[in-house]
Amino acid sequence: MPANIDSESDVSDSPSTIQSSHERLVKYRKTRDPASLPPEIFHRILQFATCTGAELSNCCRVSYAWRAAADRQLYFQYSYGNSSRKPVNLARFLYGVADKDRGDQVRELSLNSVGKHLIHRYDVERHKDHFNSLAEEAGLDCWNFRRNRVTQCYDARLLIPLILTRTRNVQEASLDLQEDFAYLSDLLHAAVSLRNQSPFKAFQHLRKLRLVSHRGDFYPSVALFWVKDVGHVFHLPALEDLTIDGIGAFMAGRLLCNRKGQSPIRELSITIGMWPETTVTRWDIATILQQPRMLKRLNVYFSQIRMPHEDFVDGLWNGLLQHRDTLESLVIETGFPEWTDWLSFEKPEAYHPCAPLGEFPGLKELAVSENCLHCETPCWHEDTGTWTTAAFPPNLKTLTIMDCFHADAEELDFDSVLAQFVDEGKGCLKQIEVTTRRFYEPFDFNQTESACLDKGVRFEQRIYGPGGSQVSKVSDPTSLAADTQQSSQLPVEA
Amino acid sequence: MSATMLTFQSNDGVDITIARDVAERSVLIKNMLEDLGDTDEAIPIPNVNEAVLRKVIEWCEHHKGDPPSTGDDDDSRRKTTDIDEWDQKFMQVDQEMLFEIILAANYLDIKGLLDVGCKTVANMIKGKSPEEIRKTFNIQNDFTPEEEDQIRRENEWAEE
Repeated sequence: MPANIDSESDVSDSPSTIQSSHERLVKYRKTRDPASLPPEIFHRILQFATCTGAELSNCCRVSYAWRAAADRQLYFQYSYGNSSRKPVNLARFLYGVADKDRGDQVRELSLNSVGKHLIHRYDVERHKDHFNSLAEEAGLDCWNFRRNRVTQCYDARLLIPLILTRTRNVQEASLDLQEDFAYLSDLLHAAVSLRNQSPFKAFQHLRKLRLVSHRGDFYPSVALFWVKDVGHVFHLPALEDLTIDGIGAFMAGRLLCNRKGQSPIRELSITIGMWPETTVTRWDIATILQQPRMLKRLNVYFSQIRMPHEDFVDGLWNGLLQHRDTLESLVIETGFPEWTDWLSFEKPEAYHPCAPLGEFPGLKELAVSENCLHCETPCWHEDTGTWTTAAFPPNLKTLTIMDCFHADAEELDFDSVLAQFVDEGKGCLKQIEVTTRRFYEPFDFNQTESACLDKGVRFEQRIYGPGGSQVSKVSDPTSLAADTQQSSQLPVEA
Repeated sequence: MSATMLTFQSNDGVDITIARDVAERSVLIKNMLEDLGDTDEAIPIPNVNEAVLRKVIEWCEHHKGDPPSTGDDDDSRRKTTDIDEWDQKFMQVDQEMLFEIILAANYLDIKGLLDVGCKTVANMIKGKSPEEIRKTFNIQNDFTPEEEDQIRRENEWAEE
């Protein structure tokens, strides 16, 4: 009997005739190793065959040929933090990627919420010397795998820089960290620093990075990285898409000024904030935004910025003008800003529109907080034109103005400006949305609504209504009816 | 109106005539016909013998009304190894023939058939231990016990 016959199943449904028995024997004899198929076909078979890491691991142990193919799939992606994996898994994964060939196969890496996790000493001490040598090899001179004297456990986050350096071909990485931004700042700096000459320098092939830190379960607000620690990530050689949440702007103007326009990033999503006791200048803001050579998509959120409003607007638009020919999508939002040149609760005496939006011909999507569009006194780009249709990008498809508070100020006269923009537009515009910070009383956008109806543009204004709900006033020419509808209960911002 | 008929010649010299719409399940043949236009001569299929070619044609005839494959390689396609009943019966052949069908589907660029073939092999692998996989395909274990143990330790992270 051939070795590959599954004797149990053969007995259970054994054929009754000699003829069919012979046929079955022939069928079993004609075996062939799937690994002998072209690699792309065998790869496809393994994709169908393996849903779990354990199944792939089984395939790795079949033969050398199977291992070569299955390893590629097994090590393609690693994720920690969103699954049931225990902290020790980080140490085990590091042990796996310590082999250069396997480490080089990792393309996607996701490490989340490593901050509080501890690894029992038993699980790491047998590999400790090995890990020390990996740190040395990766040029992480300051790395030290310390044991906590009280818990007798090791800090899992210390494995992150080693993992990053052993997986140097990673193309997409997501580091979503909790209570460990300070650790990560240092270690990230070491792993990607220009001074690191090791062949295991991290992130040299990274195309997409998401770097997020927050203050843990009880303080889910954004925590900030220091510019000095994460400034390098702007200049990773292959990085095209960066999400960083968030960065303290302090000293950015000085630390990053020499590398303006040198970053290959084309899509940037960034939260810019400030540490207590620090300051932010217009140059800090402009310099951060000027790091990329040419941005295609930008989403910037200014969190609790405290500075003169005029400096903010000036720094913002100065930073953005560099990308005027390439930007297609732009979102600028401010959250709880403190404008030091405004007296509390007191409106400035006059407004001057100052955002040079008309100079962004490629922009298709724009969402902007109202306070980014104007300032109190005539500023440096007032001479770019009067507040007319030229104030908006000519090829815009969707326009959202957020946090409207002063839209009815006489000097701004948003209604007639928007109406004129719709009237004289090139026909690209499909939607205008205005969200206000007002309660109960919508702004008067009669002219704009009328122009939108004429031109087939959807217009929506959202205000806060009773009981914390949000009320939408929608004028949609496709349904040929303007109606008011109350949306489901949406929380009111504090 | 009768369908246009085309003749194909297998690599062992046998001519087989089939309807054009059946033949056009193969992207390779479809593109070739678009370039060549109509032809009365037998079109050689150099990589496929008669037995395999007949099986491939049988599959194409059964699936001639199927919508064309979109060609996307998304995850949802990867995760399912369900094979419809007719295809399951169709694939009840020895491994040699199964692999030849897969190779022919790959050469002729018939995505649907290639997927059915790959899924059939995948189902023979799924849920099996390394030893069971070796038995199924008559593969020789070229690892030493130490090497196998080392691989198990290196891949320990994936077992969780």
